[in-house]
Formats: sequence, C-alpha cells, structure tokens
Amino acid sequence: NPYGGLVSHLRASWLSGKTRPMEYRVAQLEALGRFLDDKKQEILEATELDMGKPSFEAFFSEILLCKNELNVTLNNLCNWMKDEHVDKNLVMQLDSAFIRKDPYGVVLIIAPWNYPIHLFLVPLIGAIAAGNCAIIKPSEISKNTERLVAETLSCYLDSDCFAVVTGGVPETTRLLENKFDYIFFTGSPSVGRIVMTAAAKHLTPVTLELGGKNPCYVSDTCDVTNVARRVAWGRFFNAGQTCIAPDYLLCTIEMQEKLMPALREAITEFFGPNPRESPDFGRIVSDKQFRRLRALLGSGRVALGGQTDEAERYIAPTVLADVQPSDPAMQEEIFGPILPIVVIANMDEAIDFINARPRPLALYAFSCDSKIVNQVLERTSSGGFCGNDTLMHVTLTSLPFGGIGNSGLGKYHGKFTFDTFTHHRGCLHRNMGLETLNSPRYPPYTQQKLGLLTTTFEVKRRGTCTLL
Amino acid sequence: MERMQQIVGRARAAFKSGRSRPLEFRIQQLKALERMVQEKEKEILAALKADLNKCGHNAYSHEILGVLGELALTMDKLPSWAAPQHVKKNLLTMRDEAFINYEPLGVVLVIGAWNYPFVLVMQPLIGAIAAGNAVVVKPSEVSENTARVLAELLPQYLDKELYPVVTGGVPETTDLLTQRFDHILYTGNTAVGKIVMAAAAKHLTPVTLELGGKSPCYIDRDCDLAVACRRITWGKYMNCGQTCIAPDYILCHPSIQDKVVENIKETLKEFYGEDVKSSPDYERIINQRHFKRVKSLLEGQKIAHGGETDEASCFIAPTILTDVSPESKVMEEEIFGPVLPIVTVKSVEEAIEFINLREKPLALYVFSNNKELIKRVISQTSSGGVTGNDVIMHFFLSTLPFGGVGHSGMGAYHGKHSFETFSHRRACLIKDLKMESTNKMRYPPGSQKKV
Repeated sequence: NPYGGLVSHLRASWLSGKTRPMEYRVAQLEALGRFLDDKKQEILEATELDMGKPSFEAFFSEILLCKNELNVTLNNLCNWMKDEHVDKNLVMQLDSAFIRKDPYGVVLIIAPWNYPIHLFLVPLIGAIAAGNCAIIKPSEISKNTERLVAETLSCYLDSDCFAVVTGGVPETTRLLENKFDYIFFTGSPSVGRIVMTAAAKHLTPVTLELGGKNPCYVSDTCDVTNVARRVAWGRFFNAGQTCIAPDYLLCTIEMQEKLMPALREAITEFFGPNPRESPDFGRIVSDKQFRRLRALLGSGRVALGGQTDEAERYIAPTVLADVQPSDPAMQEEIFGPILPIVVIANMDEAIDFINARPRPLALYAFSCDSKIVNQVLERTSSGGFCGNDTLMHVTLTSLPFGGIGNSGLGKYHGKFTFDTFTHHRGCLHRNMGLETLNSPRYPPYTQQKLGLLTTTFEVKRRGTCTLL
Repeated sequence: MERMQQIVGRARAAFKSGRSRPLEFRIQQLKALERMVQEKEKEILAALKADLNKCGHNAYSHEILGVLGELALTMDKLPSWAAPQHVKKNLLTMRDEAFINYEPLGVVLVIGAWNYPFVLVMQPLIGAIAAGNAVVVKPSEVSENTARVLAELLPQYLDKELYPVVTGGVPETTDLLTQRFDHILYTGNTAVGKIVMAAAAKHLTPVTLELGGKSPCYIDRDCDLAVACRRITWGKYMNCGQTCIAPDYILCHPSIQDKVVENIKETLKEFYGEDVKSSPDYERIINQRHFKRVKSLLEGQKIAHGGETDEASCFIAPTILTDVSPESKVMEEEIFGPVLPIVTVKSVEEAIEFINLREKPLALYVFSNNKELIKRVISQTSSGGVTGNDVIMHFFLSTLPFGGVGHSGMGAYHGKHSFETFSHRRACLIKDLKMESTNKMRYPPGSQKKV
C-alpha cells in the first residue's frame, strides 16, 4: 500500500487534535489566500499551458471565485463552528440539546482538470474550515497545474495535515484502497461509480460532483440577442469544458432560425472574426479530448464555426443545427465548444425530452414569460436551475451546488461546503437530578405510567387546516 | 428479479405521474398512516409481542408513541418545510430571485431492521412520503409477524402503487438492490451496510445507513451512582438489549465497579422482580441464532450477576460481567443482547483513549456531575450522537439529527432531518432577460478594466 504511510501520518496528526482549534483553521485558510495571491501569475500561466485558458477566465474562476469562498468562510467560521442549540420537547426542558459540528478526520479531495485550482481549493476550504486533515489529488491531465500545486501548496499549508498526491489512474486506484473519513470527488459519472464503490468498502461517506448533458430550453417569446449572448458565454467559456455549461439547446425551428444570426453576432462580439486569434478563447485540454470532440462535428449540420486545428487543439466556437436525438453529439456530455440545437415543437415536447434523459447537473430555460420559466422548473428535475442565464447560479455562495441522480450526490459552496465535511452530532446533556420525572419510563409498567408517558411525549397536532 | 423490476417500475411510473407531489396528497397519505396506527394498534402490538415478546407498554411507548408524534409533527410542519427557501443574494444578483426548492428524489427504498421493526420502517416512511417520493418498503424478515402486518396494512391505507411493501429474505433483498433507487435508507449492521452501499454505487444512489457498533458508557467517580445505574439499566436491558443505541459496555474506575454492579442489581429487582423470567415486562432474544451468539459471549467471563439462559424460550437473564478484558470476544462485536461488560479504566483519559482506539460508535454516554468532564469526553471523541447523564434519550428529540459516523453509519434522520434526507435541495436562480448591461462585464473581449 504505497500511500499507507502518508495516510497514517495524516491520521496521527488528526488524532493529535491540532486541526481543531479555530485559530489553526483560520491560519491555514489565510495561508490558502496567500497562495492565491502569491501564485496568481503562475496559476494563470499553468492553466494557459494546460488548456489555453484565457487569463480573464482563469482570474475569474481560479482566483476571484476562490477568494470569495475563502472570505465567506473566514467571515462566518466562528458561527458555523458553534454548537447549534435546538428546540426541546416537554420532557427535556431543563436539559441542553444541541448539534455539535465535529470534523470527520482525514478526507480525500479528487479534482478534475477543467478548473484545476478551483475544484480542489473550494472543497479544501470547507474541509479545513470543518477541522479535517486532507489529501488533495489534482488531475494529472492538467499537468502544469498539477506540478504547480504539488510543488508549492506545501509551502503554505501544514504538511503534517495536508498533502498533495500526484499521479494517474493507477495511483488514484491505490490511494482509494485506504480508509478515508470522507471523499469528495469531482469528475465523470463512470469514475464516480468507481469512487463510491471503493468508499463502500470502508463505509466512507462521499460527495460526488458529476456531470451530464445540461439542457437549455429557449422559448419563442424571448429577447433573442440577450439569449444568444448569455448562452454563447456559458457554452464557450473555457472552450466549453465546464460541467455546468449549456450542453444543448431545445427550441422551435423558428427560434433556431432567429437564434443563428444572433449567436453569430455574439461569437463575433466576444472573439472577433477569427476566434483562433482571440486571447479570450481557450483550447482543448488534450489530444484525446480534441479527437473525441472533432468526431461530434458530424452531427446535424455545422451552422456556425466548425473549424479545427489539431496542432493547437483548437475547435472553433461551433453551433450545430437540426441535430437528431440519435446523433453522436446527443449521446454523451459534450464538454467542448460545440452547441447542438435540437428542434422541438413546443415547451411540452421540450420538457418530455428532458425528462426522458438522466437528470442533469444544471438546467436552463429562457423566456420573457416567467410562467414558462416556472413551468420548466416545476416539471423537471436537475441539480440546479438558472432561468434566463447560464452558469450564474453557481456564483452565489448561498445556493447549494450539486447534482442529482447521474449528475451526482451531495452539495457544496459557502456554508454547504463546511456542512459537507462536518459530522452533525446530536447531543443531549441531561440533568442528573429530577429522577422522579423519569419514573414513567421504568418497569414495572402500568397503565398509569403509560398515560403519563403519552402525555409528556406526545406531539399534538395543532389546529388542522386542510387547505394549505 | 422480474417481480422486483415490476414493483419498482410501477412505483416509478406512479411517481412520474406526479401525484405524490402535491402537499395535499402527502398530508392525506400521512393522515391515512395515522388512522392505520390508531385503528390497528391491537394488531401491531400483537405482532411486536409475537416477534420480540415486547409487552404492551414498551411496544406502545417505543414504537407507536414515537410514530404518532412524528406523524403529527410532520403534518404540522410540512408546509413550512416544503416551502422554497429564499437565500441571501450578492450585488450581481440583487434584482434576481434566488431560492432553494425542496423537491422529491423519486423512488426511495426503506430497509427496516428487526429490533424495533415497526418504528424503524415507519419513521423513514413518514419522511419519504412527506418529501413527495414513492417508497418501496422492505421490512426485516427476521421480525416476521411485524413484516406480515405491515404487508397487510400499508396497502389498505396507502396508495398501493406508490408505496409497495416487499417481503422476503436475503435473496429478495439482493434482487431488490439491483434496481435503481433515488435514495436508500438502510437500518441494520455494518457488514450489510457495506453491501447496500456497494449496490447503491452502481446507480450512484445516495444512501443513509443507520448501522451500529459498541456504544460506550463512561461512569465517572464523581456522579450519583444510583441514578446513573438506574438510567443505564433501563437503556441496556430494554428490548432485551437489542437496541442499536443501548449502552454496549461500561468504562469505569475499578474502585466503583462493585458499587455499579450493586446498583444495577438493585434496579433490576425493582424493574423485573425477583424472577425476571416471569416478568411480563422483559423481552426475549429474537431467534435461536442470536440467542446462541449472545450466549457464547459469556464464555470465560466473570459473571457478577445473571447468566441464566433458556434456549427454548430464547431467554437470557439480565447479565453483568466484571473485569472484562478488552481483547475478549464480548468486546469485539456489538453485543445486541442483555449482557453488560464492565471494563475498568484508571482515568477519564484512559477511557477516551480506549474509545478512540475503536470504531466510531452510534451513541456515546458519559455520566458525571462535572460538566467540564462531560464536555471534554464529548469533544475528544466521535460518535453518531451523545446523551450525557442518561442513555438513549437523544433518540427521542426529533430536532436532533439521528445517525452514525464512520462504521456506525452515514446520514441522519428524524423530524425535519428526515424531510431533508429524502429531498433534493435544488438551487434556483431566476434572472431577468433584460438588464443586459450588467452582464457586459463578464463577456469577452476581456480587459483589465473588466477584471
């Protein structure tokens, strides 16, 4: 067991109790903040090397959003850590009843390559805030960022309690043989299954942030220009390599017609006449991904874009029209700068289409008519939902971020990350006196005792109201 | 396999029809459950007596009372629990609607246990219905009378397609677990918990596992021993020790061991009389297999009290073992029987170390007049839940989440926690299609100014 020693070491640190005082947690979190500040340039450069991430985007997702999460956590940690006192019943009025926020112990965070700093750092913030030790496993695919994290993070965090493990599938498999007290995984559903199966051997609770095909319904009543901008922004951010990107569009044939020029205009506005020359458009992370995406271009017909360059791993911002549900582009999560449009007759058909498929991580609906947006919301199921925009729901730290069904289980961001890595321990601290109050519960049993118990324990229904 | 596919398929189709979602429907089903418990109380109590020799008082107070309370609470609070929760917005989203929508997960599987066979099916069922799900109920086959009663009664009161009851043993449960569910709540032992989670992993199904372990009970020298021992006796020997949160073993200083034994003996006499076997208030071990298992734990032990057994009636007397060695068999597995080992420790530090060397238990108990000591034991250990200066009671406060940690389980339920366990909290942000100018900041071409 190549990682047994490391895990034992962290477990010993955990048992020593050093990660528990608030001062320690704050110090480690502040060090993470310094990491982001000191290494900002290196992060921008590494992510650019890894996937041509535009520095504007890298700053936004890898630095700004991370610092937000850090600040929300530092501002609220004291309150989050406190015992949460709960309402008591009649019998326990003189007792102390509260929920303790206990750390789990040694946790494992496995991050993917597409937002390689953000997707390990934001979970790590919660893990540290909750008082745990952590092993971080960044993705080997974003290898420049992996190297940066492996070489520099230890300069900021306490290496007795936090470690970075590098490697690919074999290393991760060996790592998963160890017992962890929590595993936080971001990646594909198929690997999610493998992680959960490994976790089951040790009864380790997990959060799985997975993916799927995020549908984007555009109704006939909408401001076409704004829709095109918001959809294009969400689709082509990070060259489409975003788990919550709008994966495909559902609209009527008339709307498809209207959207096309608007999408062309938005793409030109964002990236200029030749996106390949724009510093604001990314590249595909690997040859394997590039080839996979290129093969999808045969679906429907290329209405916008479609150009590729293998040497650069460049795929132009592309819109495919008249895509059929059976086309390759509709069989897997796209994870690239390709937006298929599937034509449907009306909203009901769109909802049926969405509901016939695995539940996605995100779902988008665009309409000037709020009733339509609400109908789509109410008649579908997804991890999260954003009406009239894309991606933005995950930037609000007071909203939980997570999937459902194939798109994942568990949630995080803001306080939800702290809660994810916390065992909520129910505690009742009773009075040693007043023993007579306990007598109805003791044998020998009598009707009278039962009557007393019923009276004191019973929760009575307050006045009934049949109409809600 | 096909039968399970059909049952689950029907439940899923019923869920997809949408009829389990309106609050009125959910409350109507919960009301029906309430009627069932009230109208069929006799049948339910008779089944519990047949399965566990549970007397009316215990059966009513441990299983029926709690269920009625949970039903009343849930029906009362459901509208507020189910309402969308608006959240704090930031500058960029000031004009938008941001809220968390509570939605059903879909088809939930509830697997019950045999020791409190009614309440351990009913409480999860109540939460799952309240959250708007379809629910497949699989009571434990070991408590066969209660399983039969549930299979007969639930379809008489509830929507048959949405809430089917599946009976059977290991093969049927294994079959059932190959189907896809949207949440599984399992109550039982650690070994099977791993099997359930592994099966769930194939479908990426979230799980709540209510497992077990050895719940330690530390008695400090500075405490009212008579009161402490009475409370411990109650919690240990109720249901013949077959309680997942029973105090499994005692840790105390050698100087008070004898006094502890004396006090427990006194209390036992008070509770069950001179001849425990003839007390109507003392239960039996569920079956031969568990009888043999618990009996074998007595081998080689110093029996300070009790030890009598009768295989024919699965009777094991309330038993106390003293000076137990940490390496002995009785200290290896969860006892789940009326056998109480006392392990002596020289200090509270030693007790804490002892507890931390072992798997995290479902419950932890500490008795002391010293509040600081209690706080210290709690903060330096981990467990599903805690009761200080009593046992079991944290289970009865529904505002506390009830669940395990580590080998004692994952997830929690009771009261509102049940509703949240069986709900999907969907993040929703609804923006305006206008106000595009505020969005311009985020669009390319990127520039320092925008950043």
